[in-house]
Order: sequence, then structure tokens, then C-alpha cells
Amino acid sequence: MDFLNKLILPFLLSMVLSSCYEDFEPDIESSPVLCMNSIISPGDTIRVKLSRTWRWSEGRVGDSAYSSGIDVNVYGAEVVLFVNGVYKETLREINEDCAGADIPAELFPYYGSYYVKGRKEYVAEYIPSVCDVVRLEAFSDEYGSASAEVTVPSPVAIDKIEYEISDFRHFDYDETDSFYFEMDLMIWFTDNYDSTDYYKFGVTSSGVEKGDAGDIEYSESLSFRDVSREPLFKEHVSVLESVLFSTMSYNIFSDRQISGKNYPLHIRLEDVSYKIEKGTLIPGKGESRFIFNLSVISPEYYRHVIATWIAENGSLGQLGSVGLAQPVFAFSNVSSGAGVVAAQAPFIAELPVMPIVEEALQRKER
Amino acid sequence: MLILIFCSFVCGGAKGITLKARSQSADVVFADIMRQSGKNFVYPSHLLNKVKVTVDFKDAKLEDALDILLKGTAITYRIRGNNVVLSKKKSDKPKTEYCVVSGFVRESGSGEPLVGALARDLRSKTYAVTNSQGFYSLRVPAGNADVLFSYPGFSNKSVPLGVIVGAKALNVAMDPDGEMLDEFIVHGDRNNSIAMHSVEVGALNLTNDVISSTPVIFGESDVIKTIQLEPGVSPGMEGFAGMYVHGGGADQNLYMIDNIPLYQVNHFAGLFSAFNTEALRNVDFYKSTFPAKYDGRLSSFIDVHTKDGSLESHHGSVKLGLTSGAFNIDGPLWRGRTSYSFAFRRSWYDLLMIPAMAIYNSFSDDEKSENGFAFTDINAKVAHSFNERSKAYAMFYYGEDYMRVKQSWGKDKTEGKYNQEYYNLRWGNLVASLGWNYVLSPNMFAEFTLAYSRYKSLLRGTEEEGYMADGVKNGVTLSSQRSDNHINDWIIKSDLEWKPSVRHAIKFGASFTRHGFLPFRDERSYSFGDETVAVATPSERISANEFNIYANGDYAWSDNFRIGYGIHYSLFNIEGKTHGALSPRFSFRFSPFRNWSFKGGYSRTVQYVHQLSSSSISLPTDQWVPVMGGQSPQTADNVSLGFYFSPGPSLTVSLEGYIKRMNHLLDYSDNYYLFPPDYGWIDRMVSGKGKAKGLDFKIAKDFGRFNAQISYSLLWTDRLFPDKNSGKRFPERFDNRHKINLLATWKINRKWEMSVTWTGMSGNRITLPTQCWTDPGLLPGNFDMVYPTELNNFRLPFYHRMDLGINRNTKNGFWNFSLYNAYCNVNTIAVRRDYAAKDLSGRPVFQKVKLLPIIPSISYTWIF
Repeated sequence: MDFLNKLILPFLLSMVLSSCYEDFEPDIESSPVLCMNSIISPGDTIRVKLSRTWRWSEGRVGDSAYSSGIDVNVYGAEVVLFVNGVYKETLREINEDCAGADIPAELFPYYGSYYVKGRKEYVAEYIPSVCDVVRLEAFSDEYGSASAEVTVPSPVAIDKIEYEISDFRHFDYDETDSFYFEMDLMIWFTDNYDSTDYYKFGVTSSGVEKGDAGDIEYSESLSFRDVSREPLFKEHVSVLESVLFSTMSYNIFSDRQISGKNYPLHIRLEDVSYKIEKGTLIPGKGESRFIFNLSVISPEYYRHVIATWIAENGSLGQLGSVGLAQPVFAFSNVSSGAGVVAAQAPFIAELPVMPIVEEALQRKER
Repeated sequence: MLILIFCSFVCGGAKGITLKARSQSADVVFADIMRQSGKNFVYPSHLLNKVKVTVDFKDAKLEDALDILLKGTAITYRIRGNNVVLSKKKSDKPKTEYCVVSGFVRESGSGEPLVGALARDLRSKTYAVTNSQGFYSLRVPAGNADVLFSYPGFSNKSVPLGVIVGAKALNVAMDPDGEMLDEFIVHGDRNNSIAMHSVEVGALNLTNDVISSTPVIFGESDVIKTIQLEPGVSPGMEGFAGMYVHGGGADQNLYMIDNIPLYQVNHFAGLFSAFNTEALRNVDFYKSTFPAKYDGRLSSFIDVHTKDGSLESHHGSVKLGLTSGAFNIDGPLWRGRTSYSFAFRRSWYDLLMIPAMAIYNSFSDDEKSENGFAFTDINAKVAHSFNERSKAYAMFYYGEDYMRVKQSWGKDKTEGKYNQEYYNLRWGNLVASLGWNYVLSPNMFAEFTLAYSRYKSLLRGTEEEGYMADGVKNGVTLSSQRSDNHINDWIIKSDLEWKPSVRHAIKFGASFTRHGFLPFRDERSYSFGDETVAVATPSERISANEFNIYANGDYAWSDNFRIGYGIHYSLFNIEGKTHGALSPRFSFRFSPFRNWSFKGGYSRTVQYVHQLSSSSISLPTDQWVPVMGGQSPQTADNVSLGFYFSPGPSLTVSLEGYIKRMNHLLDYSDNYYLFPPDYGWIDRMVSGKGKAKGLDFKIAKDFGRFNAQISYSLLWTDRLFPDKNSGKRFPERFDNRHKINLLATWKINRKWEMSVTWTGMSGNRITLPTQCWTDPGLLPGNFDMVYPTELNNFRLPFYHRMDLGINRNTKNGFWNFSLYNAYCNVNTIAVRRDYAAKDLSGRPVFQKVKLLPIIPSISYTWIF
């Protein structure tokens, strides 16, 4: 579908861009600068990653099979933390590696290639709070300095979760009970009236493949596809982009159209599949649950994500890649022009799947 | 002066005069006559000084005696009672009196007015140029006159007028070249004689024939692509109908159709212009100094004149090309009085896609697709002549691009999921005008116009999802989105031309435009079950009033020195705020020697509306918006000098230089794309300055059957925005430093014609970011973050290509064969960052993106 959705533009461009390509090295000088990345959450340790910029043709970064093994680490640097304008500390330098990374193992396919042995990470003792104005300054003899400031936002609570089940199907297999359904949810929250807020929303699941409930062993799994069509998620996607380029979007939005209102995010989960070992369908014993994460994010976070979306999926990025528009630069709030120091304040709400299934079963039996 | 009065005191009757004298002083002789006649003689004292007379008459009457006496002298007499008044004869040389020769210059047969034709009196060397209705007014000395009419592509026509007195109406029908005998080669140069004779620098008149004979991509003759061959005009992206004049932007050109502004001039993202060549008559193009009539854009003015239609017989043509077809017909509705013209053009792409779609759909039972794209142009005109002095017309133009994407998956199933998407995009122009021309007097012409011009873009999309159970839809979710923007203009205007003296021509007029803008509107909704969530951007409709008044003079100080002067005053009222601007114009032409001209000029232009465009191509999301908020109108000051040499009608050489300063330019800010697409546009804009300077050189030679033109332009142009590119000055994207164009046409014989163009120019500038930085991990996936760099920091390699066009005339039409990029030099149009594919290493590399290879095309035009 996606292929054909983009049929028009390729057709137009195929007439124009029956392109061929020639490798070359442009005669433009470039000097690496210091890059500083950090995502700050209230109550979490501040971690800062430093690296240097590299010329595109220098090679690929990371440990992946395609990487060129170029070293973008910055050695002998110093990172200083200021909070609300007051010096707090010079961050402690530690070695970052996969094992020590604060990233769930299941996300390694996404993040792994950027973990390079020997990369340094800088960790603060100070634990940030909401409304803290955090300023980070980094210095390197070789690549100069970089600084950035961000305000830690306050979280916004999920007030209520409403859902509706459809197309519910129960398959009674020998070993397992399997349930399939579609799920439309409304995730209610109230935007702050007196501030401009940016949000990120995500749905994940938790559960156990093997576990125990007292003396009963059971296994269960929960999977689904998030195909939410909440219009706020697509406020940065134009009709033209929908036609010619991509309807894909990240679940990032601003409060521009809902400022100060109580608003429900419309979430649709398709192909929800819940499987539980036969005989263990005991009320109150299932552990799988939907996890809804509504994070208030700093403007820097929002802008970086939007710029990335435009570069990768938007019309400007697509046209820019063939010379029909100016290229889209990644957003950075760091003084060197490389890196992002952003903040987020998540609010987590969970919805156990077992009561949903039970309710649906009862309704079906009725 | 002393008046001497000789009084006769000798009274006598009316007796005759008898007198005999030889080389006698005249006053002595008169004293004798006075005595004999008894009359008083009154005359200035110096009148008779040194006047000697020889007479011999006897008993003659006084009158006879005086006639004989004064014969051969410069003295005359009058008898008033008893006085005889002597005075100096008035000179035999008559006082120069002028008369006016005026009328219309038309094409023979069709009666189409010829715009920009030159009417020149070969005796007095005075000349006039026909206006948009083909009207001219030529003041010539009374007596014999011999007027030569010339027009590019037509045979010169000389009309000996003989002795004329007062005003004379002279309508002329000129013959196109093609109708002449083979042996009679007419010199109709591409550069045209107006360039030599007018006071404007950088003025050009292009006829339909010239445009049609210029080879372009896909064989689609195109006004803008023909103008791209002129020096000082950068074409922008290869293959597209872009136009960047003297370092200006794409929205700094005012395109007009019969003097009415047209906002969207591109089809198919800019591959073709909106002007159907079959419907147009000629094009006026100004790029350096501008008549005061024109304002509202900074860099150039292009006025496309459409055909009125033949007053004598019905003609038409049908053209079938690879990319589009066109139908054109014109003729009389009332022979000699009323004519019509109708032209229709439509692209084929959607039809070409039908079989492709059918093949694609055949691969899947569930997945169906119907996609289409087309553009359409309709031109229509009716003109009626009430008499030789009064004519009215109604003109209509409609042009639209249309794109439709319809896709479905599982729609025909009775069970299971389905998805259906439908997108419909339409954007284009509508122009309608009513005009009335009236010849108020032989030296005054007036035109009154009422017009409506609209550009509209409407993009709609819906997506429906759900599942089918027993053939019934369930769990239906419906997303819909609609975006639109438009600009509506209501225009009323009057333009007058007055020739108060042989050396002086004045044009003046006024206009009022009521603008209506909808810069952007966005509506989105999402429905599931009975519930609908809708979000919309508050639609921001803006009205503005624009008033313009102008006067423009052309004064011939002497035979070799002319000046052009003008003033244009405009008022733009929007949201309670009124901007006023004075645009002075001045130009001169000095011809110290025959066939040599030096010209110079200064023009200030003001622009109140501008186009927001985020790419180098034309997209339906481009918006026309007014100057508002804290913005100031854009202005440009242009100083130009030109040198012209034309030793004969077959050779013209010109060299023009210019310096242009632009202020209050508007452009997107560096990070404007970070705002949602429906966000307020004013906050995305930044204001800055621009400058451009350069030289345009052109030499055109007419060898008879073979014509050639070479042009070269040199350009520097840059921009300075305090809030862009870190406040540093940066080169403009189409800063094509050197540009060379060659054009040659060869009429081999009656059947075959051939044309060749070659273009070579410094490459466009692009922004090429060379560095990356590490992904901060805010999103799933890995991205190499693009590190910013200075704007337009890299110049693409030198660009060059040659195009060939061949016309084969047949009994009822002609074939056109063309080769775009004939020697297949695939030019670089961009640089991308990608991974090496050749050596399978996958290492990151910079790659030149090379564009169009050789593209052949063929079309046939059937003429009836």
C-alpha cells in the first residue's frame, strides 16, 4: 500500500530524476566540533554523552556490521552542571558500554549500533526536580566547548482511560487460551492552561512469559499494533505529505489546539493478541498489562523529533535529498550546533489486560 | 522701429504713374510715386535700405506700378485707404505643420493586432510602437510621409502616404514571413528593433513564432523556457519552468495575461508553464528598467497577450504530443466585426497511467489503486469592433492541476479488515476580464478593464478503516483532512496613451484591486463510531485594497536623445494599516552615431504580495500572502546601462549592465519547518536584503534563412538576513556566475526548419552539509544527525546541454521532432549523502545526482 501511495511522485520524478550517481568528495573544509547529548528526567540521574562531529564520508559510526569503526569519542573532556544558575558539580566520567547502559535490552536493536567501546559517559550526583533549569557546559581541548540549558517540565497526569473492545474472538486451544480483539481507547488528560506544553505518548505492554502466582505456574503474552489516528499526532503532517510522502508520524504533539483543555487521546490498538496458558485463567492472577506513557517533553525535545521526522519522512527532507529543496538540519540547542539537551517528565498509567478479557468473555457469553 | 510716413501734399486725381529709373535707390523712386499718386507710404525705415530698382512704365495704375516695382524684392504692399503700407514679405518657407497618422497594425488575413510593431516615418525618422491592441499614433510633418511598418517575423511594409493634411487613419495589414515567396526572405530579427529604439533597457518582445520554434523538453513550446534563453535570466532547476531574473526570486516576476496578474504559472510542479502557446499572440518582457505602468514585483514583468481571433475566416489546429494535446480554433462570429478564439490543452499522464494501474491491480485481488494526474488550460476570448475607434473584448482563462490518489485494500471482501484512502488535490488559476478600447482622438487611446483573477489550492484526503462482518462494515474509523489557500483579486483599471506632440508620448492610468487572501486553512477530523473529533486552524481571511496610479512619458529631446520618465504611486491597505510607495522611473537613450545607442535607467519597484515556497519546484502548498504584521513592502532599486549597435536590420549587438538592491525581502527562517504546517506563516518569516549585479551581452544575426543568437550573462547575487545563516551574507541559490546561450534557426526550405539551442552555465548553488553528529536517542532507530552549514556553500559543476528541434511542414500541418540534451550530457542537479554501492563497501559517500539524459519527443500539429 505504502508503495503505491507514493506512486505519483516517483512517476513524476522518474521522468525527471532518471538519475545516475557519481561518488565524489566535495571541496569543502569541515572541522569537527563537540557534540553533547542528554535527556533529563525528574528524579533520574543526569547522564551526558559527549562525542565529536564527523564528516559524512569519514565513515560509519558504531559497532554495527557496516560501521567503519571511526572513533568519535572525546577524551579528556569536562562537563559541568549548573542548576537554576548555581554551580552544582563537575560530572563524573565513566565508561559507557552495553552492559552499563540504561537502556532496556529489547531496545538494543535500535540503540546498539551507537554504543562504541570506549565511549565516555558523564554522570551527575545531583537528581533533578521539576522546574529545575539545568545547564550543562562541556569543554574539550581538541573540539572546543558546548553548552545547553533546559527546563525540566512538570508531568501531566492521565486522568482516565476509557476503552471499547470490538471483534473479540476467543480460541480455545489445547494448551492455551488465545484472545484476539481490537481496542479503541480514550486517554484523558488535562493540559496546563498557563504554559505551552509538548507531549510524547507511547503504549507498550508488560507481562511474563513464565512466572508464578503462588504455586501456579503459567505463561502469558500480550502484543498489539498501535495504529492510533489521533489527529494531534499528525498535526505536523500535511495533506501533500500524506499523498506524496508518508503518513507515518511519531506520537509527538503540542497543546496548541487543546491548550488548558481536558482532552482524550484517541488510541487504536489493532490485532491485540493475548495468550495465556490453559487453566491459568484465574481472576486477578494475570500480570500482563498495557502501559501508557504520557510524557511532557521540553520544547527542545519536540523540535528535535519534528526536525528528524521532516528530514526522514517529510516533504522537505524528501525533496531536499534530490536537490529540490534546502536540506533539513537536525535541531540542536547546544551552542556548538551538535547535540540535544532535552528533558521529559513521564506519567505512567497501566491497564491490566485480564479484566478486559474477562469482561469481554462475560459479555460474549451473555 | 521708426515708421516713416510720407504724406502727399500734392493733391491730384487718379491719374497714372509715369516713371523711368535704372538701378535707382528705392526710396527715391517711392518718393516720386508718392508725389504722382497722392498716397501716403508707410514703411519701416530700414525696409528700403540698399534696395535698388529698375522700372520703366508710363501712365500706369498705382497697383501695377507697385507690382512691377516690387517684383523680385522681399517687399510687399497693402493699400489701406490713402495709405500704402510696405512690409517685408513673409518667408516663402512654410511653417512646419504636423499631422497625425494613427490606426491599427494587424496581421493580414486573421486581423490579429500586432503588439509592439514599429511604425516609422522614413522622412522625419519619427516612430511609434503599437500598444497591446495594435494601435499606434504617429505624428509626422505635414506633406509627404512614407511610413515603414516592421514586426519580428513579418515582412516590412512601406506605405507611401503622399501629401497628408491633418489627421489620417491608416490601418495596416502585415504579412507573416511564411506567406512570402521562398525567394523573398524577410528580416524579422529575434531581438527586434524595439531593443534599439525604445528607451527601456532590457525590453523584449517575443512573438508566438519565436516561442514555437524554440526547442524545449518534451517538445512542449513554452513561454518561460524561451525567456530562459535570454541573458540575465537563470532557469533554476533543470527541466523546470523557473525564472530568476537578475538575481531575483521566483515570486518577483509579475506574470500577466492580457495585463491581468496571474499567480500560478506552472503545471506539473513547474515542468510546464501555464501559458498555452497556441493561445498566445506575443509576450512583452521587461527585466531592467520598467515602464511606470508596471509595478508590484521586484524583478521582471511578463505580459502575455492572447489571440483575438480572425475576423475573416475560421482557423484552428490540433496538436498531439507525447505529454499533452491541444486544440485551438478561432474565427469570426460576425465577419469583420466580432471574432472568437478558443484554446484547450490537456496532459495525457492520467491516461498513460491507466494501463500501468491495470497491470498493477491485476497482481492482487485485495489491493486496488486508481491514481491520476492531469493539467488543463482553457483560453477563450471574444472581441468585437463597434467601429474603427471602439472595440470591446471578454477574456477567460482557466488552468488547473489535478491529482487523485485512490487506494483500497480488502474493500470487496465480506469478511476481514479493509482500508480505503482517497486524496484529491486541485490547484490553479481562473482569470476573467472585460475590456473596452476606445480611440478618443488620433493621438489618444484609452483602455478600460474590469477583471477577476483567482488562484486556489484545495487538498483533501480521507482514510477509512474497519472490518467487514457478513458484508457489513464494523469498527469504522474515518480520518479526513482538508487544506486550502487562495487569493482572489477584483481589478478595475484604466490605461490611456496620449501623444501631445511629435516628440512626446505619455501613458497614464490608474487601477484599484480588491485582494482577498486565505493564506492557509487546515481542518482535520477523526471519527470512530458515533464520535467525531475535529481540530481546525482558525481560518484567517484577509482583505486588502490596493490602489495604483501612474504616468509615464517618452520625450525625444532631439533626434539622437530621448528620455523616458515616469512615476508610479501605490497604496496598499491591510488590517487598518496603509503602506504607500512611490516608484520613480527614469531612462534615456542617446544615439551619438547612426546605429549606435546608449541607454541608461533607474527603476524602483515595490512588492506587496509574495509567495511562500519551501522548495525549488511549484507545489500546491505554495501560498500567496500579503505584507502584514510588522513587515514592510519589499522594494528594489535597479540601475542599468546599455550599449546597442545595429549596423543593419540583420545584426544587433547589445551589452547591458545593472546593479540591483533589494530591501525588506522575505524568506523562511532557518528552522521554520519546526512549526506545524498549519502554524501562522508570519512567525516563520524573516526579513533581509539582497543585491545583484551583472552584465548581459547579446548578439543576434539574421542571415536570411539562417538566424543566430549568442548571449552571455555575468551575475553576482547574494542575500543578507540578520536572522538567517548566522547573520552572514550568503550567495543566492541561482547565482549562476556565467551563462552562455546559443540559438540558431535554419529555414532549410519550405518543408524543413531546424533549430538548435545550447546552454552552458555555472552550476546552481546548493547547501551541502558535510558533517554529522550522534543521535541523541529520542526516537527509535538510528539517524545520522545533519550538522548545519552555511547556506548555498557549494556550487554544482558547470551545466551544459544542447537541444535540437526539427519541423517538417506538411500540406495540412507540421511534425515536430525534438531532442532534449542531444549529446546526452547528464548534468548534476544535486548532491546527496548516501552509501557506496559500486564496491559494495557501504561506506558513506557524497554523490552527484545527475539528471536528465537525452529525451526525444515528437508531436504533430494539424492545421485547418
